[in-house]
Amino acid sequence: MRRLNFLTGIIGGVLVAALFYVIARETLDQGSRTFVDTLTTLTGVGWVIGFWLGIGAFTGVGRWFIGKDQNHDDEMYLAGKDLGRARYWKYTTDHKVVGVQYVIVTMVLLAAGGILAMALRTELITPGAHFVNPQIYNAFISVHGMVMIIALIVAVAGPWANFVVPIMVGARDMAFPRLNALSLWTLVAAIPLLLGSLCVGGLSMGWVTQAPISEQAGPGMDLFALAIITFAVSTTVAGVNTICTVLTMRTKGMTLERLPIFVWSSIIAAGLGLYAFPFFLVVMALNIVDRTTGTSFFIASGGGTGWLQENLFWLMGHPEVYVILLPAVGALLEITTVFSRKPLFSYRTAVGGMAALAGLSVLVWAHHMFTTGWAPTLGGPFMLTTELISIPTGIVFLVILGTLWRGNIWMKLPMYWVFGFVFDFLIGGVTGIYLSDIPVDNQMHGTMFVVAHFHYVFVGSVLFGAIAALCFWFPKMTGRFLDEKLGKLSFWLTFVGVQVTFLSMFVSGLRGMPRRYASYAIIFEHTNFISTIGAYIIMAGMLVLLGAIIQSWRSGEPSGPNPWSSKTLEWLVPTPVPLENFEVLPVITSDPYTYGEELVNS
Amino acid sequence: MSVLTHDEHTTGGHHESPEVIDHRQRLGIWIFIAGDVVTLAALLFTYLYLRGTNTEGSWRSVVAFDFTGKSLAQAQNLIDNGTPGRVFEKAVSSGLNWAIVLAVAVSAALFAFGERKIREGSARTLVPVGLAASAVAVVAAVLAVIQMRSIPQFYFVQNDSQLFIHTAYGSAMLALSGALIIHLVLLAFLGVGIVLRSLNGAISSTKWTQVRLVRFFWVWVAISTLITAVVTTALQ
Ligand SMILES: [Cu+2]
Repeated sequence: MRRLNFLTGIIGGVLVAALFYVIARETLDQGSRTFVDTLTTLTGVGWVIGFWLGIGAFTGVGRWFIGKDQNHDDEMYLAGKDLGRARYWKYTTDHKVVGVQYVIVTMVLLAAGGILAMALRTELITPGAHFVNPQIYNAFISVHGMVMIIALIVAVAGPWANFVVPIMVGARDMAFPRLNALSLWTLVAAIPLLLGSLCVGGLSMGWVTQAPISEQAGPGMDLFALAIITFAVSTTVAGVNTICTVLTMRTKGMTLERLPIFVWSSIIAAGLGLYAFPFFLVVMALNIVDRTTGTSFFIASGGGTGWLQENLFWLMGHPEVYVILLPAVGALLEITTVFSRKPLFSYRTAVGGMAALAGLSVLVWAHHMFTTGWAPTLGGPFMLTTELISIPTGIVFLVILGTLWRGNIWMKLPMYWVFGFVFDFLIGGVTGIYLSDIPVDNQMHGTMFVVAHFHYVFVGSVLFGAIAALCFWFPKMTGRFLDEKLGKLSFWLTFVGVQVTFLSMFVSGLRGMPRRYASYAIIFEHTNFISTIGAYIIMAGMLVLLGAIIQSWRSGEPSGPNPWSSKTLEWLVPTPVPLENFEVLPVITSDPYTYGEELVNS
Repeated sequence: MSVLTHDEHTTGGHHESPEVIDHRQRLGIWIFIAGDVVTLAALLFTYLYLRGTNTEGSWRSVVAFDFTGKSLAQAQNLIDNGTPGRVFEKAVSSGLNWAIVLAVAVSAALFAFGERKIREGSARTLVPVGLAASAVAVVAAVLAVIQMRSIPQFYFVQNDSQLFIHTAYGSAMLALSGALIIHLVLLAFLGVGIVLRSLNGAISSTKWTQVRLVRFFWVWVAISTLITAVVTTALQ
């Protein structure tokens, strides 16, 4: 157990994958239609199992099985005690280490997805084919989509539900520390599968893996689906952990009504994820089974139907939007109250709004299927539920505005991203209401208008929220400020870049430009050129941010334990946070947002 | 947030009581089971959706070559000269379906019995009963494998592609039995683990809470098997 680390994980993964590959190649009928897919799938499964073995994920399980549990020393070692930097490369259970690991993994994912995005936008700079052929373009589209979706699912919940939530509720670690490490390293295991799908031909039908194209796609689809199954396991484990931590590990006096709003957003998102991701797992598993064993779930000629694929996918797909959005919104609310020096406006409405968002989000999935011909009579009801969801969304938005209203606003770096969010989310949200309207959707479906809409939500809103969270909690994680100058430069570049890219993309869409094509008609020339320029501006912003992160992490200005004079618990412990967070567990005597009031018991 | 950092009621020790840990683990198991409920729901949705949609009347029916009772030569001859006809698929044996339910229920009951005994202070019963429960779970898994293998494949020709396929019905049944097998293997692993732990003293009449955690999951699998059987026999 003590020698295992990331490297042994990779070695284990490669070895077992090779073993599975050889066994499968020797035993399977090579003439069979399903041979390549089965071979690819088994090799991918081998990679995951081998990686788990090599990183040490099975060690605790094995010792449980034979009745020789890990002793206190083992646990301390696993938590990373006295291991220095090596603990970041190991199956470390300390939630703060896992938080840092998630920051790195998120950045890797964003970088991979970003590079693909730049390739796509570069291809689209003028009409006609340039440097990627249409097949590669489609593969890039699919993998860009899924890499970014996964990156954004973990962008806030991964780093901060791990790093700060346990401290926020007054706990010494997560409820199940080993599961915490499992969720992180399972996510890491999924990444090579996802990117590896590009190396075996990719897939051409976009991240939604539309059947029956997903049935006909090359072996890239097998690795893609396997990556998602692996990821679904990772998220489920993480979700259970977050919920259990908050429900059972709160310190004395930390009633549910005193939970910081970010904690609420984290558990609501985790609960919603537990509902959504089993569908993700099932739809991808059925796809693999169709491709490897001759079943016909999504194949009409065998009695299946592509609508089943779409239903299962979007039963996951829409709730997942809120799994992505809620933690970001929670972090933004947290930041808004700290930097407005005001209590959170209408705390209960905020919690209720987020819960209502989660509840309604499971009833809207078919708005992705308005134009597919599935159940036209249900169009009206689904249009209604989709439009209803704008109410809780608006409420949460108003909570931010209400908190800002007449606040004593302190314009530090995190606040820039909050205002960026307010601007972008308005555009992203309102265009969503357009699209929920069936007559409009009939025109807009499958156009760049939709792409611009959800990029305003994902890039302009969620990514801004994630960056705000990073700027806000960076001092707690590293003991240093994120450089304000570079950070603000990054903000302005990214903010301007988002408007340039996606406002003109709305115009492309309104004029009828279809999405997912490597080339386009001459009438879309100008708007696409502008979008591509905008994308380069976003890239510049992201590179500046990356530079700021690296520079500040190494030699930024020391921040002390509570640079923002914040009142939630994570700021009241020393920086760096001790291994078990609290010497003596605190007792809470008031709600977290007593800004502007005297401290009662300090 | 106002905080008291020196509270005399806090014991200061970093070790939590077994009750606290058990409470947390119970919640954890229930949330995992909730996730599993959604997975089962997705699979049953698949079954019912395919049945309800009945694409081109092909629920338990497919236009294909039926080789039932044919020799290899006859089969080859059919492929070369015959035209595929509509083949109706017999439903999976209800008897076998209920036998699986019975086996899973018995294994759950055995394990629950072992749990009750150890909570009453009799640790010795858990070892044989836990082993028996795991063995019956394996038997149920074998039955599920038999069920899977009884689902026919049809030789199907369309345009240029010639392949063996399962009908939508066969596919949905395969997925349900496959999911059950995964659960049963997991149960057998947990059951044997509990037995080994009680042999090693990691589980005793004073430390039995993990047995209850496993029982929760075991009973849930039994319930899910029952639900599956009700749906797949009532709506074939
Ligand atoms: Cu949606």
